[in-house]
Amino acid sequence: MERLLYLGCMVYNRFPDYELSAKAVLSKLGFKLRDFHEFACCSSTFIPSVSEAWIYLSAYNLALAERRGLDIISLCGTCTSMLKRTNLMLKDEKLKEEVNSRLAGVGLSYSGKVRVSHLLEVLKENEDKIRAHVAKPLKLRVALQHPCNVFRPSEVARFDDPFKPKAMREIVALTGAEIVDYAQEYECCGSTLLLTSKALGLGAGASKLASAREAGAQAIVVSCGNCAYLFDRHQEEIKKQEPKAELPTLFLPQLLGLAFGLSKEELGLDIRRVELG
Amino acid sequence: MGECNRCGACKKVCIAFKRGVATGASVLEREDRFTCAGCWKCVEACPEGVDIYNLMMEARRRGELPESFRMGVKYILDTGYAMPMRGVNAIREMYRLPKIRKVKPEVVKKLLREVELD
Repeated sequence: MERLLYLGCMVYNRFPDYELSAKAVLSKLGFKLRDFHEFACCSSTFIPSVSEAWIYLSAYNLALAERRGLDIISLCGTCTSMLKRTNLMLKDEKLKEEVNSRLAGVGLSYSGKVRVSHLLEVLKENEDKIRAHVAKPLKLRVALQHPCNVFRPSEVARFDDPFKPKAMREIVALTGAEIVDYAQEYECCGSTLLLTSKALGLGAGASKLASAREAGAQAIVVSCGNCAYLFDRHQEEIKKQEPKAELPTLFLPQLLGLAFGLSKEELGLDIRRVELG
Repeated sequence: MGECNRCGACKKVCIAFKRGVATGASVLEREDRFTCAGCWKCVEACPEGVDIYNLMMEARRRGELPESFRMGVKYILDTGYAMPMRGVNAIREMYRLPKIRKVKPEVVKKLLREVELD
């Protein structure tokens, strides 16, 4: 049950409450989480957009984990996908050799043994334990934001349905919270659009959140830092554009933690305050 | 890997297209290859199994880099992370989280030695 927690840049830099709550909930479920010292970016969308060399940086993270003999739990969509893509590509022995000759320059090697799982996959595998830990069933109506890259491309993700994933619904249902159906539930949040067009990103976020609130949600539950970056960090700008899009963001482990009876402090909700209307 | 027959299945599921980004017959014919949410529904929807992810990235490598991508690449090359991390340990302390040792910049330089911004 010992694992390395891969934070990725977004969680590391902007959402310590996601890390804190994930650690609190996973440790309740019996996991021993180790901090991932000296981890680097997975390469994200940036390095692949300029060079094939992105795989060296991604493989570096896997090699660090292998040296410690631990599998990885990741928290965001893109990190999960990039690390899994690297594992898949390294089934090619010639590429693996090439990657290893680069890794040797920094004192590492990688044989391909590290399993990468997003938090959702881990929770899905531990449904019975989650059920047993629910001490305070929630009286809350929530909308869900399914993290794209945890399910797509399915060839890389190998988890759940690529267009209509069920895992998050099944996990959230265990907390007692009511899951609202909303028109745009299976649409991407659009956060990455912010990179080239703020208007497009905010528009996508406003349209999703308004759709969720109209369906009666009191919060949107996310399990990716990038989705939270749009919904939470841009909430003020989104609200200015569309007042009906006012909706607080909760990370999935915060929702689970509340149902487990954990304190706001244990879930980081005393610092990133969330008012549930 | 299949070849694109320009059926448009990828467009129909593309959030950028739905929000008005000009797209040709397929998402690969889009002039602006960076305005993409990276949701990869196009990959799933393609009936021909076209390797849209890699083709999209290859096309990006041939074109001019938008400023936001340039910044992202620069941060990673300089620090190993896609955004500035200066205050990160102070924030972690506030959240009662332990400090994490960052990757050494020289390690990143060795790993990505051929990646340059002009």
